[in-house]
Amino acid sequence: MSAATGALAPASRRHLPWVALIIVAASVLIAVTAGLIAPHDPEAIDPINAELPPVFLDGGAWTYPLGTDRLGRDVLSRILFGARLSLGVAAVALLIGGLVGTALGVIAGYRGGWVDALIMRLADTFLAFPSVLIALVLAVTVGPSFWVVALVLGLVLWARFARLVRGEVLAWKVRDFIALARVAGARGPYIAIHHLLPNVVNSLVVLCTLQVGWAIVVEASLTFLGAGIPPPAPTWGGMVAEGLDFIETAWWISVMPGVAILLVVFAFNVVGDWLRDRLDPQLRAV
Amino acid sequence: MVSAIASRLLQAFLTLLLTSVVVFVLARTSGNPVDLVLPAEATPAERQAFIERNGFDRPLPVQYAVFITGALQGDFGISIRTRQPAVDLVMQRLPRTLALATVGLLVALAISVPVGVMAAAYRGSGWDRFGQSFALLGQSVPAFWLGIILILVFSIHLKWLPSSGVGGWRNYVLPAIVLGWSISAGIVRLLRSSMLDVLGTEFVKLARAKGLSERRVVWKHALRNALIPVVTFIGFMYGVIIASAVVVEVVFGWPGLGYLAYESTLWRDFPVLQCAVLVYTAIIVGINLLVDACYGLIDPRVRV
Repeated sequence: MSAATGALAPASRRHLPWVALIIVAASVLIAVTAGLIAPHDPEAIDPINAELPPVFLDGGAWTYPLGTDRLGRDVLSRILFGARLSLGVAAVALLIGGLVGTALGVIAGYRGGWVDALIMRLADTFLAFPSVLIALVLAVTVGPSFWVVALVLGLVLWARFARLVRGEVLAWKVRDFIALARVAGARGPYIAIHHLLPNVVNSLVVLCTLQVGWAIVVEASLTFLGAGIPPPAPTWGGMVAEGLDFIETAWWISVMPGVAILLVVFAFNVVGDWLRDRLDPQLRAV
Repeated sequence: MVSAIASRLLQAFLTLLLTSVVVFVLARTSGNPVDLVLPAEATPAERQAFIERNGFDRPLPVQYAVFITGALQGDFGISIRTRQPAVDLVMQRLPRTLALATVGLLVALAISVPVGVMAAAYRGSGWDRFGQSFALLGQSVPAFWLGIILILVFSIHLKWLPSSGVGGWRNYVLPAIVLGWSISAGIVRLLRSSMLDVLGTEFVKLARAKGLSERRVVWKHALRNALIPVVTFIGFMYGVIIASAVVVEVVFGWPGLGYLAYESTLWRDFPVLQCAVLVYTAIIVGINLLVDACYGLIDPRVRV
């Protein structure tokens, strides 16, 4: 996108997205404090109260505000604890992908030449990597787990980070202050950490925010397929899958956790979009 | 141009190589490969014969060479579940996945081209906000959950459309909508920014100055140019749609390649899963190559 059109971005997109920010903050808070605020143990079984509807339907009770699943587990408590797993996987994946991708992106952009070519070819290769299918293979061979999901997500994420950072570094390294630092005797790693990285931070924050939603959706999809975090852990994707057989009689088991995914992912994407407009006009076309 | 093609071919080759190495290493290093490929009720004699036939006592690189030579000739072993060659099962299911992905892509275009163009033509207006929210929402809805909601509403309550299986065109409607919407977000976003770029160029000003109607300027002159970056993106999207088809096929009981891969996971039918993953990768890589080749046809500036 050209600079001219960027400057004309609609004013309506500049104001603070309050609702989305509150949802994002709340989801992080819930993920941290799930153990304190959840009304029930997310894995406690209560067969007498199985498939109890939410409180706003006939037969619902405040004991289980969002109803219970087929084993009588509290849907609300499972959703609250699910936030911990969903955001946790996203955080670990972003940490892996962000660190590796940023490091390789800086190296590729700064060194150039065959190092650049090698790293970027590798990044393109990983971008075309069928992550969902590799996760299925991992589920059969090493068995599904939290760390396998985080690793699979990280494998794709690092390439996205590397691409972004390399592009930025290419633009920054021709600036005078980098040349000056070099003349002053600074070495490559010093320049990378003290002069290049601070200029890339804005873009990194934007990319991280936008990728949280992606990571949550992919984790939920993998867990839904049985290749993510295995039961009985309270995961959003797993809850949707468990409710599928009872969709005609007890729809809330599948629908409620889906609403949670939608709200959190939508909020992260709205905040990411807003940050992109505020912090990083260059990223607007991504 | 030649070096660009060579680089693309190398890319495709690397992706396939990487996937095959990953699948191979995972299969060989996690536990006993014999358990992974032979059914649990195999006799010790069968196991011994299997080890000797496949050379599991030889070094890993040699084993990989044997595996990849067989794979290139279409030999991925025998399905643990049905005892048919894995490659036959995969090829049987492949056309259904391609059909669904193609219809899904058409739905995505039918949704996102009008939305993207209107958002750019009336930027800052209600249309623009609608287009952008629509794109963001499509990006945020998990496909498997949207599928369940649509089944709940249109199959169970309204009884308008079937919830699963294949048959007539009615079976395509729900899964294609889910696939189409989930990828239309990216297309809307890209088309909008591409349209805004084109609408700011000199030749659009000229077309307007000539007195052409605004509708003609937007839908014919500007759109044709704005679609160029979208076409490359669509090639990339085809890969995404095929990959996300796994989840959608499972929700809608669509007996395609994705559903086969999922079933193989449940049955621990490793030979079939392995074959499905590699065929999947080959298709995605092949389509990307094809799109790159077509790029020159659409954009004369790339032609040599």
